[in-house]
Amino acid sequence: MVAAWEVAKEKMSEVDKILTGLCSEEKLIEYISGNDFELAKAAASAPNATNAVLSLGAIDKDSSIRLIVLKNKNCTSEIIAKLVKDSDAVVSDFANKLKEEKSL
Amino acid sequence: MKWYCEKCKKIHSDDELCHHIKKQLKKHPELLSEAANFATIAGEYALVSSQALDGVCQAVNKVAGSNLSFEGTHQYARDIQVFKRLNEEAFVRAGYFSNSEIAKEYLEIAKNNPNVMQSLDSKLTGSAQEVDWLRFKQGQLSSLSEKSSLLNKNAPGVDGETINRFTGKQISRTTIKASSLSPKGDAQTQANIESNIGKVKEAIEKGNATENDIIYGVKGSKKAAETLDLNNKVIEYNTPKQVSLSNERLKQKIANGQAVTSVTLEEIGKKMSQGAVIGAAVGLTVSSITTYIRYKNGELTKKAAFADVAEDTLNSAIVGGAMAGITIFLPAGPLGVIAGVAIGIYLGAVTKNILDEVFGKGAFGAILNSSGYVYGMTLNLVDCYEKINENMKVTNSNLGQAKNIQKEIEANFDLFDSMKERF
Repeated sequence: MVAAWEVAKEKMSEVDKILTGLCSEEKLIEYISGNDFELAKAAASAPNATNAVLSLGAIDKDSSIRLIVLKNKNCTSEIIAKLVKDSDAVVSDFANKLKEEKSL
Repeated sequence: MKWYCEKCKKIHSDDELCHHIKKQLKKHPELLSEAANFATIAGEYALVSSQALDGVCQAVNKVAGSNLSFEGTHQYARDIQVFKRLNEEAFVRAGYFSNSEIAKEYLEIAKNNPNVMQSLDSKLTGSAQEVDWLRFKQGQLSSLSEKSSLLNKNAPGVDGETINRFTGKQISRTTIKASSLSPKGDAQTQANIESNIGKVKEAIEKGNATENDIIYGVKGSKKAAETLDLNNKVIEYNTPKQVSLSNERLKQKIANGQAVTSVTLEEIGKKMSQGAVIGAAVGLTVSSITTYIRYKNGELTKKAAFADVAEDTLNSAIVGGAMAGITIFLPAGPLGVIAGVAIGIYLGAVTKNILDEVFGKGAFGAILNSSGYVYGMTLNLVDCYEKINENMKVTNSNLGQAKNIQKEIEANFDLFDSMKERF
């Protein structure tokens, strides 16, 4: 069973590994700050994304990454508070909505 | 220098530009900036050999030590290039160095997470060594005929290449490696260097690099290459300790909101004051231009041309207080900087008149400008520092005002929000 899982893991694409929480924080940091957009997007939505990973995503110049950060269940109230003042209206509106929902 | 011209069958004097050279210069205006570069390097050599700059350096240290911390032009420009490289290469997508405020936020995140800090350190180390390589290449006399540039990461295994300016043919490829000091001690530092150089071996095995590529690494790289049986030529530049110190300085700049990627006009006027600290100005004379073009035409050897131009520039060099009010051109990059003191080029009346005749009135300024020369008026060294101090006070006061205005705006927004909720 374990061996079958190891084989499956090897066959998975890097994006799949990120999305299933198989990447370490170190790797996620590399991806979220790296130049590959697909990997960065995946890192921002990783189920095991830590506060550091999401904080990096929150200062990304690409607003779609910032929006994905807000949609991650691990997004902290500090990050939401920061993105309430975001220059992009879609991001700030979504952050405001979250703020209300979570009564922050 | 008087010389006999085979084409004109006459002797030309120092202040006379041969008709044939005038024609050549008009057809190839880039020769003017090449001659200026040549004169700058020759002038630096002459100034250093004659120790004419010692007094200036002492004056800089004296004023700098008492009033403000002095950062050499060379280092200032290098650090800007490192931040620019980070913005254009390592973080081109994420944009962490797109402005100094974002860079500051990025550092704050790194301070709270060792993995982010490790990633930042590695990017600072790599980008700084790449910039140092480029500046090292641009500062060599061979840069007159060679052009070096950094490649983007789409070129695996190799970081920079040097080509012949005239033929465009590749001369060499360079792979750039750097390591900082390891907190675990010297043995671990050397192990890290070996691991880094080992990546060159891997690149060769994968066919992305060859044994002809040059390795540009920190001290200890030669030993590592020997251990790994690599036959590549190794150039060592920087020690791991210097890399660590550079990283600390760069991080301090990021923390201070100084991670700028370009020298803005405002900074030239206010903060980029170091660029205005000009230690000496050497003259670009008709004789120097003639000598350079004759060297390019194969009539003189590089050594003879260099000696002639060095003598010329030293004779025309103006150092210290005598420079106040002279209009000069400052070369870009490491050219024209000795021990953090800038060396500019000025043109005498005779040279200006002749160049006006060749290119049209004042066009020589545009030619030098397009080659990266910065045109400006020199100031007396002490006047310059006083001006810097004044400007720094104004900048600080402006910053204070800006912060107060920001607070007011935020308070107004809060008021607006509470009004919205009420109605």
